[in-house]
Formats: sequence, C-alpha cells, structure tokens
Amino acid sequence: MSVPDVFRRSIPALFGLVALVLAPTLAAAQHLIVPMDDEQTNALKAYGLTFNALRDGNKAEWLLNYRGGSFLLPDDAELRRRATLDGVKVIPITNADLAALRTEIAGANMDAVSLERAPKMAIYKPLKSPPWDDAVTLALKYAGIEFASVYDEEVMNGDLSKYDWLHLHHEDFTGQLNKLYLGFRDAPWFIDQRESALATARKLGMPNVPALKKAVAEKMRQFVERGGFLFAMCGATETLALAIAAHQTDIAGSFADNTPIDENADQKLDWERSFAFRGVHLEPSAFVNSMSDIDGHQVNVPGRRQPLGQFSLFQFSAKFDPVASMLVQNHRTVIADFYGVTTSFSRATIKQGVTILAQEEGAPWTKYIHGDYGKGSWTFLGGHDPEDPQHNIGAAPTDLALHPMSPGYRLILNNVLFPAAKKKPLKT
Amino acid sequence: MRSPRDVRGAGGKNRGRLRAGFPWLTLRGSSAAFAVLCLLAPSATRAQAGNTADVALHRALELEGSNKCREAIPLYRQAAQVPDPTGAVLGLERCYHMIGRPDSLLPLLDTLFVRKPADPTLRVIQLRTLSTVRDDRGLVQAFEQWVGLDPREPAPYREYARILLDMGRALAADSVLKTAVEALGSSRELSAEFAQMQAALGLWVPAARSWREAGMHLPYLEQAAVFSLFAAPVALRDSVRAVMREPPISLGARRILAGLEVRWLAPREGWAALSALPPSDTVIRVWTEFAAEAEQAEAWLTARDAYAQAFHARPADRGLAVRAATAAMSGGDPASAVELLTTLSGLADSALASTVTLLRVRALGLLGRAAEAESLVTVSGEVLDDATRRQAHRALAWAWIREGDLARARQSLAIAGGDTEEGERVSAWIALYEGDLKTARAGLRRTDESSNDVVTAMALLSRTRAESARDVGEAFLALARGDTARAATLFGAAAQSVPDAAPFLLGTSARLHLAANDTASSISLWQLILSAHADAPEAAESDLEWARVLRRRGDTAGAIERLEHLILTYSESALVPQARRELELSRGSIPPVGLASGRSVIAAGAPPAFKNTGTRSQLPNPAISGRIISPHVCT
Repeated sequence: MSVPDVFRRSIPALFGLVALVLAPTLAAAQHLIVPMDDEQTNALKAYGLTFNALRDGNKAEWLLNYRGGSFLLPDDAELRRRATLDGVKVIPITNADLAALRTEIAGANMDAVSLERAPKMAIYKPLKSPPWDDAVTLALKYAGIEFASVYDEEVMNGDLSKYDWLHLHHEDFTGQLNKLYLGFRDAPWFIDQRESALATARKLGMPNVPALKKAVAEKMRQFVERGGFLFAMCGATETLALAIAAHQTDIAGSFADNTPIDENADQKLDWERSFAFRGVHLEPSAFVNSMSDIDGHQVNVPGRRQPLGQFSLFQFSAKFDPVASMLVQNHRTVIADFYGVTTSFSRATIKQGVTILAQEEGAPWTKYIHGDYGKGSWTFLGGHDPEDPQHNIGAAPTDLALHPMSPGYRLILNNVLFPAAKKKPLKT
Repeated sequence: MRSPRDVRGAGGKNRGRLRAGFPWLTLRGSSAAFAVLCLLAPSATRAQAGNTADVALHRALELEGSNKCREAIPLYRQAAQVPDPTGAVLGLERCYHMIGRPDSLLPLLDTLFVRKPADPTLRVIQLRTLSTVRDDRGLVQAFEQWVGLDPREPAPYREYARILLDMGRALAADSVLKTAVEALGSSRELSAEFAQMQAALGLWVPAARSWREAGMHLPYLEQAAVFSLFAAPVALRDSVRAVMREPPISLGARRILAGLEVRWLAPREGWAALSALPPSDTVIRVWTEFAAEAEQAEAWLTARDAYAQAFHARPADRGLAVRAATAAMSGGDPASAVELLTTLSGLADSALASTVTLLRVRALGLLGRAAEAESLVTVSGEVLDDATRRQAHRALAWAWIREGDLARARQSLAIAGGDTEEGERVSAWIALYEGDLKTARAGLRRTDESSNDVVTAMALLSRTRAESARDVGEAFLALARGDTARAATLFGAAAQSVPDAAPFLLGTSARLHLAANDTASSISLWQLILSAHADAPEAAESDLEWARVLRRRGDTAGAIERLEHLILTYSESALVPQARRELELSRGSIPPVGLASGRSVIAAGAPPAFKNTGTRSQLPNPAISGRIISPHVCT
C-alpha cells in the first residue's frame, strides 16, 4: 500500500477522531432567540438588547416575520445577564434547532437579515430639553440605546456627517414656532423659545428664524441624499417637507419674519426636492393652527378635526422587500391611532413611489410612509406618542415601563435598528 | 256628554213645576245648561287630550326604560302636543340619540318654537342636537335666533358657551362670552362660564378670579369650581391660592380653596383657609362639613382641629367634641383626645356618656396611663352598660400591656370576660408577650385582624416550631409599648434563640431600625442576612431595602449594584418587578415620578399647546375689563 493510499484510507478515521474531539464543543455552541410575539415580556427592551449586542461587537440577525420579528443573538453570558436584568425573554437554541429554524424561514414569507453594526444616532432637539418630551427619546432611554443630541448650531456646523441616523419630532422647520405667536406671544416660555431661536439665527448670519430653519432643513436633506437615515414624527414630518420645498419661497407669516407669505406660494413650492409630498396647499392664515393639507386629521383646527381610528400595517415580502418588512415588524397588525401636530398624511399629497407602510382602512390618509432619497432613506410616522393618543397639556410623560409591549413604540424602534442591516434592499 | 235634548228630558217632574211657575227659567235653564256645556266642552276636550298625553308620556317612559326607543318615539311625539312638552321633547332627544337619528328632532323643535319661541329648555335641546350632528352653521343660526328674541337675556349666551366648551371649543366660547359682555354690560351672570372657558384655555389665574366671583353669588357652584381648578399645574397653585385669599374674605372663595387643598393633598392648608373665618351658624356648618371631608381623606388631625373649633364655637353640641376626639385617636394623638374629652362632664345622655368614657379609657391606655384609666372605669361603672363595661375592661387590658404589667392585664381581661372571641384574642396576645408561642399560635390563628403587628406575629409563629421563647415575647411587648428602638434590638437578639426563624427576626429587626432612622444598623443586618441566610426569602427583601436606602442617599451606583444582584440572584422572587422598576428609575430610563409635562407642543383635541411655567399668559380678567384677546375667530 502506498503512502497516499494509507493517507486516503485514514481520512475518514481522522475525520471521525476530529468530530469526536469537537463534538462536546459543537453540541454546546448555542444561540439565543429573542421572540417578539406575545411570549415576549418586554419587546421594547429587546431592541435595546440587540442594539447593544451590536455595539459590543456581536453579530445578530433579524428574523423577519418569524414570531413577530424575532432576533437571533449569540449565546453569551453577558447578553443573558442583560436580558435577565431587563426582563427580556430569551430562548437558548442549539445549532440543530437553528438549522430547523432556517429551513422554516426559507420556506415561508420570512427572511433572516444580518445586523452588522449599531448605527450612530442623533436626535435633533434643543439641548436643554429633557428626554421625556419626545416619543423617540423616551423609547431610546427606556431601551438603553445611547444617542447624541444635536440642534441648529451643530447641524449648521456639519456635525450630521458624524451620524448614521437622525430623528426629528415636533420642530417647526418653517420657522413659525408652530403658529403659537398670536395666542401666546406674551407667555414667558414662548418669549424664551423665540429669543433663543433668534439669537442662534443671528449668530449663524441668518436674518430671522424661518431662514435659519430652512437652512437647517436643507442640511438635513443633504444628509439623507448622501446616505443618511432620517426618521421623523409629528410636526417635523410636514414642516421639514414644506421647508425643503420652499427653499426659494416665503411661506412664513409676517409675525415670524416681518414679511408676508408669498401670494403664489402654493405654485412656487418645489416638490421635486421633497422626500414624500407634492401638490400641497399651504395654510396661510396665522389664525389657523395648521401648516398645510398634508395632515389628514388637522387636530388643532376645531372645525376640521377628524376623529381617531385604527391603522393597519401592510405585509411585505421579507425576501424581496426586507427594508419595508423590517419597518413593519410587529406582534400586532392593527394599532390604535394617536394624534400629533401632524397625525397622518393625506393620500392626495403623497408622491408616487413612496412606500406606504400603514394606513387607516377607508380613510383618505396614511399613517406611516417610507422612501429612498439619493443614497439614503427616510421614514415618516404621523402622531406624537403612540401610548398617549390625546396628549393633553400637563399630562405626565409616558412611562414605558407600563407599556413594554407597545406595538406603536415597536414601529419607532424598528426604525432605530434597521440601519444596522447589512443587506441592500431589493424592491419588488 | 249629554246633548241639550237629554238635558231637557231629564228631571221631568221638576220641569213641570218649574214650567208652571217659571216657564222662562226652564227655557233659560236649558239654554244656560247648553251654554255651560259648550264652555266646558273644550276644557273637557283639553283635559281628555291632556290625560291622553300623560298616558302616552308614561307609556313612552316605560318603553324607553325597556330599551324600546323606536316604539317610544311615536308616543313621545304624541305627548309633545301639550302646552308644556318639555318632558316629551327630552324623551325624544334621548331616544333619537339612541337610534342614531338625533337630527330627526329638529323639525319638531321648529314646530314647537312657533308657539313657545323663547322656551329655554327647548332652545337648549336645539343647540345640543345641532352640536351632536356637528352642524356648526346651524348652531350659530340657532343661537342668533334665540339671542334675537331678547338680546339682554343671558341664557342664550350661557347655554351656547357651555355647549362650545363641551365640544372643546374654548376659544369659540371665549368669543361668545365677549359678545355677551358687550350686550349685557357685565359678565356677572356668566362668571361661571367665563371661569370654565378660562380653565379650559389653561388661564388658571383668571379662571380662579371668575370662580371666586361666581362663588359669591352661586354657592352651589363651589364643587364645580373645585373640579375645574383642581387641574391647575403645581407651579400655578400659589397664584390660585392668592386669588382665593384676597380681601375681602369671601366664604365661597374660602370653601373653594379648602376643597382644592384637600384634593391637592394639603388638607392642613385647606383648614387654614377656613379657620380664619369668624364663627357663625353658617361657618360652623362649613367647618363641620370640612371636618367630615378631611376624615374621608384620612387627614385625621385636620379633622380633629375642625371639629374642635366648631365645638368651641358651639359648646352645647357635645357630639362635636366626641367626633374631634375620635379623629384625634385615629390620627394617633390620644393626648389631644383626652384633653377634649375631659371638658365633657355631667353628660345627661347616657349613651353619649358611655361613648365618652370608652374613648377616654382607650386614649389613656394609649398614653400609658393605665392606673388613671382603671380609676375612670371604676368611677363610671354605673353609667356604662354591660357591653360597654366589658369593652372598657378589654381596653384596660391593653393599657396594662402597654405599661408592661401583664398580670394586671390578665386581671382586666378576666373581668371583661375572657371567654369571648375578642377576649381570647387578647389572651393570645398576652401569651405571646409572655413568650408562650404555643398558646399564641392557637389563639391568633383565628383572628381576622390585618394590622402590621398581627401580620408580623403570625408570620413568626408560622415560621418557627418553637413552643416558647421569652426573648421573642419581650421583643413583641416592646413593640406593643411603642418602643421601636428597643424592639429592634430585641428582635435581632432573639434570632439566636429561634434559629429556624432567624432570617425573619433579623429582617424584622432591620425594618424596625429603618423606621427609627438607624440605617447603619439596618444595613448591617441586611448584610448578615445576605451572607448567612442567602436562601431565605428575607434575602431578596434585604437587597431591595438596602438599594432603596442607597438611592435615597444619592448612591445610585450602589443602588444599581444591589438591584442587579437581586434580579440576577433571586430571579424568581416576587420582588423582582419592583426591583426592575427601581433599577429603571436609578438608571434614568423612565421619567421620575410626579413629573409634569415639559415642552410638548402638541395639544391634540384642545387649544394649541403651551408650556406650563410660573406665570401664565397675561390675559385680562373679562369681568374687569370686558375685553378678551381671542387669537382665533371661531364664530
């Protein structure tokens, strides 16, 4: 028998020997499934667990449409510890279990998306304001996800390039301070806000607040165009769009910039630049607390206010439309609606090509929309706080410990996590 | 009804005689009878119609009560054909609303307005219906029609403003009320509506002024004022208080302030607002009512003060002194109870005398003046009935226990009749204090009390199989005597003699040290429990309480360490949810308790949002100037 023959014959035995040595190790190699269906005890903190696992250099997977959009994490003592502390249910599985799971995923409208790197998060808000004013910062604080705050000066200094993901909430990018001037011009808090904005405008060489906010909006547009992810809620959705479209048109009332609104503002707005909207009609009256007809509910206009209903999440192909699928992962399909300065988006004003993620059945508005812009993408969710539908003045801020499985807050956190996904989306 | 012919035919004999003497009378009598009948006929018709309408109304109410609104509606409509159709129209309003056709009432109302154009109830129903169907234009027209009937009548403005406020249209209500002031010349008749509108707009100080004014003329609105102003933010409450306290002193304003303070969890401040009022029959009644409200809120000592002051102003009403003393006892101040009750002597009413004696015995017992209490029971023997005498002796037994004299306690109990259920219970306690755990275990098992002491005693007795432990008895006796510090030490020491309940005794000792603000001793005990008794249920509690002490000291990192230890080590403990909450608060993951909303700009379903700060918008009081700055044109 030649040496090569001996070697060939001993290969199976060698393999057997190697397998025998490695077998205990292989059998012990485990993973953790973080279920996101009704078996989960704290879905919101589960996002934090996954996000921080990525931040610490672990790999993770998002199992789209599998048990409410579960996560797959390595079985690590530190992750188990955090899960126990946070009350997040995790289920250890073996490789064999995982293999079976992957087979199940392959044969259904499910997919496994690798999550590579925790995105760097920035929240646009006045630096002194507490985190309880904004549903997104509430969610991030609760889930234990770190974020940086940026405001006008930081944006104008180009700091957005340091971040992957930007959130906006109830800022008025038209510079009209949400049209509260005529009702509250003497109120000390309003004077503070206005003076502070004016001071920043002057410092940055702008003549007034509308000009400042338009410039900030333009920076944000460029941020997305260059590959950033933007998530906006509440009034920021509408006013950002108006500010971007009005880059050469005066749409601010004279109380804001001492000049009247352009008479033909509607016709002059440049919707080509806008992320999501077109053909919008501005609300020119300073006495009407509405910006435009983008908002379907018009909550602060007594004669126009629409009642709240429920909205339904659309289902997408996990394999062919993973981005949209990620954004709608939830253990509920129908969610109770909630008001905001901008509550919803009229269908008539939405551009072609925008992906509608959720809507109220039979209503002329949508609730949750997404699209690409340049190299980046944006998502808009109408409303202020999913667990505070009416948001009365003076009410205590939402305590998310009381809503650990909030389906509305899951939509927010879907947006936080999806920029971590590796795969480039393939649209249907 | 009888016809004229029938009348002529009736009473033939008499007619004959009459005809003979008075032929013209007969004819006239017939005609007169006929005329009377004709006069009576419409009334009879009306009466019959009214009876029919009443029947229809009652039947309709029955059907509505049985949820048969569709069947009730025709009957209500029938019942509405009477001079006063109010009941029927209100029924129609309810029924049409139930079947989802509120607008069906409007044509009927238009018909009724022909004969009752200024009926305020019908007008209000019309406004309500138009607001239900969201016919804003119709609402304005209906209001204008009503006002047009009498521009100096406040009712249309009042009712329309109320409806706008109910719809959440406070700014529109503001415009209406502004018009009313111009038309009526003053806002006095509408001060309540102004107040509600201002509160709805978050103009708390002007609202307080308006409610103060309304309270002067309409005392029944005081509760409405309290309900309206209760939501004022914390930062503005001092301003609201200042308005209510302004001179001249107004009873209505002070009552509103007192009601607010109770709801703002400051009943003592509420009493301060009322106690300064000069006494009168009305004021004494107000004091007594406030005292009852304070009792409801378990502000016992405030209630005591209010009853006591009422009693001093009206010494003939001895019942007030008894209520004051009872409140004092509930508030843990037996000394003031004794002081109050001592002023009551020579009571003619034997029932009252029994009550007073029993209360005094209990109060003296709580003060550790058992001998005095015994003397009182002896002296009052004739006044007390049997049942009260037994109660008094049982109270005396407790008094001797608090003095530490268990022998005399047994004697008193024997006189009280220790074979009753209550007597057996006291006997079981005495056994516990003597260290006889076996007897105590048997006796206390039957109790349905739920005080802390009972729970502690029963928890211990179920934890250990020991039948006697003198030092455990001494520890419980120290607790009964109110000597918390000594009890804490004795419980800790007793752990050595009852090893199977050692963690429990150490935990109890730690709790008592904490109550006495001796956190150092508490922490030592918790450390001992965690190291020597890590498997005991008290271990998780030790971690939690230790974390809380650290948090209160500002040692957040230390608190987090303890809480994490608890959650990770005792993951099945019932205390884990509390520990997680404390962990989230320590980490700042959730808003701190009691935080008011900050900068939020959204005002969904309400006027535009604003931030609550110390000074609100400086809008003038319309009652003073008649001008309101209304940023929105709504009507």
